Amino acid sequence: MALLTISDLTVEYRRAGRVIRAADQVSFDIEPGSVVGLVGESGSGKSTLALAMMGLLPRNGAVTGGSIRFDGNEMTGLGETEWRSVRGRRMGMVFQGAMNSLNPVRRVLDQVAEPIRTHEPDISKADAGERARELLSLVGIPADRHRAYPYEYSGGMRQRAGIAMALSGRPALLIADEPVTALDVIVQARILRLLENLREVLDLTILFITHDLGVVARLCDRVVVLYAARAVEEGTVEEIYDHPKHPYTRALLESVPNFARGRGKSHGIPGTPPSLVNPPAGCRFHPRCPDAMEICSTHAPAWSRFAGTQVATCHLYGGDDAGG
Amino acid sequence: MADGKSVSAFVTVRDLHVHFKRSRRVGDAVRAVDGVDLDIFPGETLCIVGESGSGKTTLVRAIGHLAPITSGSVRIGDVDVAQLPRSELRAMRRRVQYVFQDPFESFDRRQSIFSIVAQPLRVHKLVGSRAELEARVHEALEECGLEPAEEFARLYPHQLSGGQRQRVSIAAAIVLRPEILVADEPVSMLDVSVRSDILSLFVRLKESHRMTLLFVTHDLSVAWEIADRIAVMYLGKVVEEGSADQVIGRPANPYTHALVTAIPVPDPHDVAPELGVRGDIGDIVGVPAGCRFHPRCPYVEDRCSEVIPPLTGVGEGHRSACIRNDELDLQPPHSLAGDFTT
Repeated sequence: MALLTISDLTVEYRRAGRVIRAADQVSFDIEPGSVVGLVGESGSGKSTLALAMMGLLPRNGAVTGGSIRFDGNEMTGLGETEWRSVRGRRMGMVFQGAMNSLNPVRRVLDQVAEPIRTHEPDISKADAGERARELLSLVGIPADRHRAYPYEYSGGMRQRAGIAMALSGRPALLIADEPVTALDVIVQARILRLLENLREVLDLTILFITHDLGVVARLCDRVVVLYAARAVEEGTVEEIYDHPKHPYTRALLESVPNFARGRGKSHGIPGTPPSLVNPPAGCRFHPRCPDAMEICSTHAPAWSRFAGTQVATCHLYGGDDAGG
Repeated sequence: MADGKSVSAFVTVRDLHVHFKRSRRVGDAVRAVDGVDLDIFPGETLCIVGESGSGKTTLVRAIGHLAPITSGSVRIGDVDVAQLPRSELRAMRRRVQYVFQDPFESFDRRQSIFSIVAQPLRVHKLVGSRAELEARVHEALEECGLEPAEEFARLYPHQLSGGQRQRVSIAAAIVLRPEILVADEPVSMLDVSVRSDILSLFVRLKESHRMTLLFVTHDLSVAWEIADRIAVMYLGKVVEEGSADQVIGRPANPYTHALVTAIPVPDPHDVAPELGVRGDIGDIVGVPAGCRFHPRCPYVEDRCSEVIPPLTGVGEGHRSACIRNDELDLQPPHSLAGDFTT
């Protein structure tokens, strides 16, 4: 059974009397032990989905349709108290800015121990400290640095400490929203290697949210491609990178520099992602799509199923509405 | 392309130091640029690549005298930038124009696109009439792909996408018809799908305006996409320079090798090699003795903490600062398309 099942999830924000649908009937599953990449550009809805999955939508945002099932439980409609028993425990979180969210005037060890004591009120202070030390060692922070202050850490070490905090509740699912984006490439590679190791050691399931297709290829088993608040394609990384079906996925992959393809071979996608206040009718990619047909501007395409596990929503493939 | 022999350099940087005082309490200055020699050839695209704290931004700012030159020299053509009297600085700065990373921050929200692009012309008092001003602004906008220019000129920054805003800052830079265009991380805030069009815009403008392009990036895949040559910086020094194919395809310096190896390539079949590198770039105030990379280097020897390695030739137009240049046989981290040879 899937650890997390998102079905037809719709999230809306109200801003200045207008409704902005930032996620529009998005569906995907995360199987236990897998690493799923949620890929999209700005405005694709990837961060909104992450916030909804963690019960952290801002006041003006709400899930207005669909469901989020985690661990067999329906999460939509949970109150803040109930969320608190899930978030930070069964579900851990790492953010892009996690490295800056550490309290600068508290020792790192104490900051990692604190959530352990919150989650497990019966644990002794010494045992919580011991667990915190284990976690910090697990993420690669040498023992003689455990009691340091965050400002004594480099950016990479702070992100490691952030990961240790996310793991403090022994989560089954780690939601990581652009966790390596702000890091230099060597540090980034080492954090990715750490996540790979943690996945093995802790049997962790990871939802990895990013715009970086290189990072996804490196770390993920499956990919969900988002465009303008909708999922447009899903499959294994091999299926998606080797045989992208949706013209957006194809164009996105062609826009990334690729050593194997050659210099000057990458080209951008004309136009800009649509506004979610007033998105295009039909397929939202049609104004930028090189393969657009008449039907694309009037009817939203249904899901088409391909060999293996790949599905995409594009009129090029007829659409049997089987996937998604 | 310029190989350093047949063409003489347009910009020559010699033993350049840019040091910043930290505070009165801490005696040590931050040596952001600490002894850089660099030749930039007319009409080339040179990428300065490095991690945060490498000094890449300070170096290019010093070239246009936007950062104080502590010692050493920067010559642009016949002009010694460091020795230039204040009265001639403005004229020199017109020749070197900058495009920065964040197109959202660099504009006054209340200024129309027209006045943003017109401002440099006004500051430098380069146009006589309103008609001439309009013509120059519209031409720059069109060259940057903002057409119809008359319509874009009337808009305000918040009405544009990130890519369009970056095009506006490029227009505001080329409207002065500079000889050198310096772009500091101009695509790192942009969505992947608009990046490559901005990169090709830079290349196109460089050709049509016969400019020299100095491009700063932390992203080696971006550098590989547009650079003729690449110079890699680490803690204030250039550690390797060469053609884009040499630096990315056959990196000779262990630091560059790690940097190139670490690039996540968009191919799930690519197996990520182990990185032998330890730690982070570290604090520039505490500069290691000898080779600055030695505490992190997987190929370190005792001598590395004693000798400051000079940039020495490892191939035609290819130089690396490592005392083990001749012994190390670093394997190419990625296979590149194309027919380049070492």
